[in-house]
Amino acid sequence: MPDDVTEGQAERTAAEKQAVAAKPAATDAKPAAEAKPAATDAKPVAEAKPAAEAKPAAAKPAKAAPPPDPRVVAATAVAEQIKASLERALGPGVVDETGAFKDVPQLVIASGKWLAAARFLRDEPEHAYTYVELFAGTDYKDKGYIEVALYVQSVANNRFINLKVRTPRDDAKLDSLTGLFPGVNWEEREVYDLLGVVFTGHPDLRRIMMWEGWNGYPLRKDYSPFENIPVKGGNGS
Amino acid sequence: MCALRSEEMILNVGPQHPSTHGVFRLVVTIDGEQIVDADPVVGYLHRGTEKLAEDLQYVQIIPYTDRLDYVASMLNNYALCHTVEYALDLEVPARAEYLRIIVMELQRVASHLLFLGTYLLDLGAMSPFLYAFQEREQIIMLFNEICGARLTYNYMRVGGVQWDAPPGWIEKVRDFTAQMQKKVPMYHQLVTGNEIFLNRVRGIGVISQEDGIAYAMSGINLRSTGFNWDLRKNRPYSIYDQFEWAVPVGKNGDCFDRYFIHLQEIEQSLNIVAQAVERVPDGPIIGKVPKLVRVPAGEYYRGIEGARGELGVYLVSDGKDKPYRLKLRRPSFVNLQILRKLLIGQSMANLIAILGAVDIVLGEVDA
Amino acid sequence: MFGIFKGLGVTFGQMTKKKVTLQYPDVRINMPERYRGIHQFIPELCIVCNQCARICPTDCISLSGTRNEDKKLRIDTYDINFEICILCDLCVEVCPTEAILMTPRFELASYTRDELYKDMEWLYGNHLGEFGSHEQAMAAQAAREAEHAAAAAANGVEPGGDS
Ligand code: SF4
Ligand code: SF4
Repeated sequence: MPDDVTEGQAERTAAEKQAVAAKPAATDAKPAAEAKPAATDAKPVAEAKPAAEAKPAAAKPAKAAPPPDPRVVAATAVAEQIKASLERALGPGVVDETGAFKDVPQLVIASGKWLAAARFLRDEPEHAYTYVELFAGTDYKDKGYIEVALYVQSVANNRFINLKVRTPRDDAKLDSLTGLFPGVNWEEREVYDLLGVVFTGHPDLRRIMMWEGWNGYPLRKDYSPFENIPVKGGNGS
Repeated sequence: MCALRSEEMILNVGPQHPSTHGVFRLVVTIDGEQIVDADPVVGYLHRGTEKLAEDLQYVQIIPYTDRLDYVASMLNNYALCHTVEYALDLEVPARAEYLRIIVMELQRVASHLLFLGTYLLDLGAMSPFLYAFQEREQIIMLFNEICGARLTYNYMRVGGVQWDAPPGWIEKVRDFTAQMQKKVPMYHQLVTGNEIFLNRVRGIGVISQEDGIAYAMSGINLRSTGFNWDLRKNRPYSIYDQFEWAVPVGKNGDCFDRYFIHLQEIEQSLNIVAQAVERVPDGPIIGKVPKLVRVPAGEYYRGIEGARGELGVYLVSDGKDKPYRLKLRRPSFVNLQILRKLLIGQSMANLIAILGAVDIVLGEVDA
Repeated sequence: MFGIFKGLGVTFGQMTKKKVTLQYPDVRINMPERYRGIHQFIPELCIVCNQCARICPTDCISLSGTRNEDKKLRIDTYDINFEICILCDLCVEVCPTEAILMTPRFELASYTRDELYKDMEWLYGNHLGEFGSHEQAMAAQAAREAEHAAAAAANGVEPGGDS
């Protein structure tokens, strides 16, 4: 995926996401807060700034609809911080989108930088996201991509974040994280088995729940048990 | 290795083998008595719970979660209900929280007792199994009285629990807890001091702390390495913060530590139950929940401390009454990955000891 | 060596204790009141609202009804496929008239799968038991409950429950 295209897409989907997450009234306030870090990209500080800006913006549209959840606001600020740190280290375009659900900050990583970003966040002592809690794939048929979510905990800093990456449905391919976290080995096999995402660099990419020769990827939204009649007599070979 | 070279041989353990605790196949390559390679094969019990859940309303998914870790169904029920409540920001009435805590901790005791019984049975000790099942049976009968089922409880609902405690039930739990607290030293007498047992589990299947974290292990497997990580303390949910209890941690990360922590956790769980039964408040058992639960669009992940580790539910909703995607983070599945690493270089006799101590339930591994 | 003898001490101590097992087919386990066993169905009460069939997570209930002359719906067929029923109790929970209930029976083993497909008559028979009609069965149940309540009152426990 070329970076500039994803950038454009991301901006749009980001606005949509925010609208969903933080209720309609926040839409006018949020893009303004979001545009700021983009403008001050060159300046590498902006650590506490987004948080400070988001607070008054959140307080303003209180009369029309319920104000955005303070947890979401705080978590989004954390996500912005991590984004700034990531871009300082790996160059712009690493993070497509930031946001939060409830109290969990969320970053959508550009698919080409998936491994590098995960490695940076694991090894940098300031982040130290070492403990993987969840690895899951979701098929968004209408939006045309499969999304893989990784929930990691930083034990040292006691932080919990959600990293995501997207890959097109027809040619689903991602870098494997098994080298960083051996604990995602089977999870990646499961995502490969049920959603059909190929993890390059995985040491042992076989189906895990279904047998080899199973027709189709069951967790994809267009999977049909009638069209995808299993190959009879499959025995794992 | 001794000077005598023998030929490598492939041995299939399972899928139908009593000590694999279900339908689990392990293809081991052995050189004499020594394991050279091991390849766990899972999926024999795959029922597609995650796919099925996409077509079910939330209340209909609860009975399916019963069938994941079928020896700790209450905890599975709770994981799902808790995630939905978290997504909805729902208040749960105090009485429901207390009832939930009581049944969950009793369930943990029952599940750990099952581990003790079957683990020692694997190692060749027959009688602890009978003792463990005697106590477990009492817990199951208590559950039978409160929700009418012995294993697949379907007890919790979004916003509370389905049935209130029948008259006299709380007292029965109190009696059982007191009696069980006295029984725990008996297990230590029966097993912990036994030299044969100690020789078979001491220093076997050692997991280092770094490995434990890198392999994303959780629960007792992780705590046995000396790493203090219990979601009930580290990311508190429900009302666990209102009780006094401790998190037992191991030192060496070997099979003995895992066995020992199971017993210590039984004590701690009984501790929580004993405190909870004293203060169960009166009041409603289910909060104000719409008849058809609709989760607002978004993504939610909540992990709870299951009997075998972090039991998480990842819920993607598009605002309908059915989940768009439901991913279950099953602790047994994740914990099992380290098995290959633990087995290589061990002898065949240790295979059973190591596999048993990782404590898996195949219903959960395969979902 | 000492640890082994300590363990044996526990074993010998157990010898004097009471037995906890039952000789199953001869002695039956007493299931509590809430036990979720095989269903019973009472056609007199059913209003053919189809709620039970809709909530069933495994889709194992199939029913049909017709409209009477007096515009009321009457149940014609009511089948439960016990091959796939998971005894989850959701159908009982949603039924507005308690036409479908669960009994404490749990033995359903059979030689063929077809036998597990139970129709309305069989489920009604589950309700009737040895009684000839719904009224008699209900009267017997009421008598039983009164007896329970009296016994409970004598023991100083609050009568009934909420099951
Ligand atoms: S008990 Fe559950 S599975 Fe069985 S018929 Fe009722 S709703 Fe369906
Ligand atoms: S829910 Fe009850 S009344 Fe309605 S169709 Fe089912 S059995 Fe009949």
